[in-house]
Amino acid sequence: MANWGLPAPWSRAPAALWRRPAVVLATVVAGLLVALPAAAAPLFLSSSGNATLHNQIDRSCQWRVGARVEAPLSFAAPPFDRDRLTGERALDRRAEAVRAAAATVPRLSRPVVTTHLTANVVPARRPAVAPDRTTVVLMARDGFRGHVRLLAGGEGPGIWLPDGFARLQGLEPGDRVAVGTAGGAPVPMRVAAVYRDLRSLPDQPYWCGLEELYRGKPLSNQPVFPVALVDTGPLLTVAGDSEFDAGQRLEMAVDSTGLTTSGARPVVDGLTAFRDAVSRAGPAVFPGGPDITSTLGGDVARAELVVASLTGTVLPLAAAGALAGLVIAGAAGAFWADRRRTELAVLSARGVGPVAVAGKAMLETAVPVVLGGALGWVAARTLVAGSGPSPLVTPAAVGDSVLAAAAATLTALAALAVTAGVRAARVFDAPPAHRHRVLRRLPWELLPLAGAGLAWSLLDGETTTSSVGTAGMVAHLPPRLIVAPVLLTAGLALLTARLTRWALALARRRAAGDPAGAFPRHVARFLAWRRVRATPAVAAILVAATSVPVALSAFGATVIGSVERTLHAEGQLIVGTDAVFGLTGSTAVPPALGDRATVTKLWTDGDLGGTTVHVLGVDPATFGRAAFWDPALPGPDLAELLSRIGDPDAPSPGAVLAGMPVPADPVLEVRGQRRALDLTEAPQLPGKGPGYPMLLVHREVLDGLTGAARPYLWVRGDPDRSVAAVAAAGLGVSTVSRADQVHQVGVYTGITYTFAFLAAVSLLSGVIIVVGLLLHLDARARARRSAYVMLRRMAVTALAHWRALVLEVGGLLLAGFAAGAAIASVVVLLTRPDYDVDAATAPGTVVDVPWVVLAALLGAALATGAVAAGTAQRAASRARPSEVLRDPH
Amino acid sequence: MTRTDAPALRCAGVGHGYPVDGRVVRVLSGVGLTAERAAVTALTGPSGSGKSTLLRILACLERPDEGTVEVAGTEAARLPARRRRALRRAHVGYVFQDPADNLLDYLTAAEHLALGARLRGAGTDAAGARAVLDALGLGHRAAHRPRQLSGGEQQRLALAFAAAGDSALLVADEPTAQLDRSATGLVLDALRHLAGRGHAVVVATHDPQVRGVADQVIELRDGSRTEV
Repeated sequence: MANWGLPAPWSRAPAALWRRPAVVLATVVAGLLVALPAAAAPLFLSSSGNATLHNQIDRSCQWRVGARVEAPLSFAAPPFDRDRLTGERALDRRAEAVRAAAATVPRLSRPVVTTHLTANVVPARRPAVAPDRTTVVLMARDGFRGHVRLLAGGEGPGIWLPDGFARLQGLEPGDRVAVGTAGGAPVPMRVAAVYRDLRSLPDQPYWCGLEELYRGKPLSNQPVFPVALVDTGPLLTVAGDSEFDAGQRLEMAVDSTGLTTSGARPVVDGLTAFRDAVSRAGPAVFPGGPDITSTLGGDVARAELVVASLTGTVLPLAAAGALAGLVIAGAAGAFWADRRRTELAVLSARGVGPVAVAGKAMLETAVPVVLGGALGWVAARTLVAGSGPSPLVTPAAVGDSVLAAAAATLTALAALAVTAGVRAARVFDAPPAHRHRVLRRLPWELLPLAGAGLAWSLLDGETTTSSVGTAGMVAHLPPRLIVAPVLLTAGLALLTARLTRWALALARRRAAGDPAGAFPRHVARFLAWRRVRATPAVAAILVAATSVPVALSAFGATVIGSVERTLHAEGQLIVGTDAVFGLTGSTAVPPALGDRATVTKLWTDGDLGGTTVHVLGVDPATFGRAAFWDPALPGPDLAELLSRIGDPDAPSPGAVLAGMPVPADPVLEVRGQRRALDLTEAPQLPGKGPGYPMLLVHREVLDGLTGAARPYLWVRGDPDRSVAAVAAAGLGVSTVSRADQVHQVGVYTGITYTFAFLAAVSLLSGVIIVVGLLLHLDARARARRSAYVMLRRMAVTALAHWRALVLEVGGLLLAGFAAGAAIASVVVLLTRPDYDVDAATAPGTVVDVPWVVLAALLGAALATGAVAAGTAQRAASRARPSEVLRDPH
Repeated sequence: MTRTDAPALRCAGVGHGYPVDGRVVRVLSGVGLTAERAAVTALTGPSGSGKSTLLRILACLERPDEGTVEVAGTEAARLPARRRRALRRAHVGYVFQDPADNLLDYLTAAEHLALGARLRGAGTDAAGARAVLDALGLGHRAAHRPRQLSGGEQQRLALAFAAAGDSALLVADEPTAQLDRSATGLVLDALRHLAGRGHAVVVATHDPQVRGVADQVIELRDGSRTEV
């Protein structure tokens, strides 16, 4: 074997370690624990960016993400513009121009062409059953037959009618109808099919770009007509005689499968080139110019903004995780030195210094540490792919993670070697013990506590937002919400350690004064307590070390849950409930929704003491079951508020006011009619938006003031199901407002991802503590073996000894869990106002206690205690009395 | 500064204590001695008299609280750790009580001697090492590893390993404590042989046989020297 000119202990080092599997395992784990958080950071950032991108794409309409070219299609060229293309010629030229430009954009589909206009459909051979309801949106869209639910017919050419319209007009497949525009000549057509009205089904991706045509725009009073489908030819025939332009859209989707933020850039660039190319087609093809839209660029920019906002917190957290891992690397170095103590004593006695020993440790452990580093990278990749925001990461992030893992691995190796060197130096050249005592007495915990106070007061606490284009904004985590809690947790954990140590030392001193009593009845409890008391420093470190991951995990989970619950509550409060339908006809609650719906009436021009208010008329008996309310909201409960809405016939009926103080003269004026009210003020009310104050009155009070208030159907529960139920009931609906769409334009994932990463790092530090605990138990195994042999001779059973170990280790872990939960409570109590990322909207923070996470952490602590006790018991029970009694150590 | 005409070891007024439960327990007080080259000095005394502590101080493994320790003409008591290690490396060989604690399990007897010389900066002299092994009765064990040797052979090899590279001072802590009478005799022969090669040998012992081969016997009692 080549010795590279080194003495044998160094030249043979690379092969020496493999004879000690426990040390190999410890060094592999050390490399893994340091490399894992370091490698995870770039992967997590990239994953977060890609998840944000896909979240936006998935909740957007595919045609809006890709490209939509919109322009009116004229059918009559003005006399002064004879070169202008019209009708079918214009349609063909447009499609050709868009198709050619789209072909150069990666991932962009071929265009789907839609042409539509408003027309009337009436039976050809008899009068219409409902003459005032004959208007439809006549639409020709490529491939529509494959994207509707056919109810009857479907063969041959003709018009496809929605079932509600066909039923209303008494039309069936095979009937003849006349289709015409206002002022144009009617075109006879055959009813080819009846299909399920698009409004009675959840929105489908194929139709999403046309949603405002068949469902209407939210909060708009424009009428919405049923959609009748035809091929392009018949539509052009109907339109040919029209004085009006038809609407036309050419829509292209982006194939987002496996799309990353870096992979999306060429697509965005291609879309820019597409826009230029289509615009160059000129006014002959697009009179007045085409309206070209695509949200992909904004989606990518927002995803990159999220990554940028995360970087400042994720990297320090990853560094903290890697530093925690370095503690294990150091422990592995100490473990190595312990297993090499004879050799190190021989070499140190001969004057071999710490640097040479560190070099030997490095040569011995390089391969397993590098192996651990590689496993750490694999673990990071697997964890991010499996549990991260998205399994997708960019190639650059993979490269960065490899570099980070390599750097972390080298650092781990260095930490291990330095610790081994220091341990070797202390074999014979230990510094005086009194120095340690002085360092230990310094109040170190004051530093992080003071740092937390400074961070809280100096750093910005507002949730800031950045807008990208006009489509939405990205929320940034307030820096103090991550810095101050982490410092506060560290300080409180150190304080816990000091208090634990002090309490145990006090207990030890008191016990020393007691005379030796009789043999204890509860041997396990006696042994566990004696052992804990005998090593107060170890107990304090274990309790404090356990409290940190518990506290940070619980805190992170609380923030994530509270941010989401608060946003949800805000969305619900603004809309009023999960879905609110503007009704155009019947105001009867469909039987299918009877137990979770109510009908309200809204008048937006009320005057109360000179202030314009929105007046919501409700039925107090049914409003509570349909309206949103969270018990965590401040102020009186909704049921109590509804009880204040008194008899509508009373001289001054009760009403509830939110958003303004009760005026001196509480008289509501609507359309010149006045009504005195007995007002109760509330912090917020369901349905109250950020604008005008809201007045909640009995519906009959509002009916008495104006018959023109708009009726709304409020429905709790899944909005998609509610939409289907409302359509199935045949209710006329003008608008649909959904709570889940209120914050849709905002990207809040940067905040939740930050705390998800914090929770992950906390769990990693929990793993580190478990490894550290096992290393500590292994280091004490020799002493424990001796004690076990002696205890067995004193008739202590193996079961009693195991119980004592469970109580000793498990008790300390439970104490750590309790301390962690208490620390998290303190941190949440102090920082909770910052969890409301939309502070302008009521309510304030709604705290979500993460019971599941706490239960999981408690389970993990108990399981760790049981496993560690089992391991220690196994090691102790291997002892042979003859060996133990000879062992000089 | 190392002086070649100085005795291998000279100490004076050495005192030392250990902290126990917040107070210092003194184990050595005002001890002085001189160990010349080519001589065997035996340190005796009852258990707890401070022999092992003094031995560690003389071998520069520990720093005394007070007094001076001069090894090969260099004052070692107040040297920083790095220079004390350098002094150990150049001039001191130390043998622990347990034979197994003195040797590296993956090296043969010959490799131990080569390593000892290498660590002291001396060239590897295979023939010289062979001669030392022969002289200590270990010539036929040159290619054997420690676990293939008996306890007495291990302790003789430990002495040769400690002396390798011509250390000025050879310090052994009860090297015969775990050996039978015949093995002890062979170890004592080895000690005499090494002293004959010019090493100053200081041995802590309870064994009357060791006292029999010593040129100088120093007895410690309660941490202080009593003349024999």
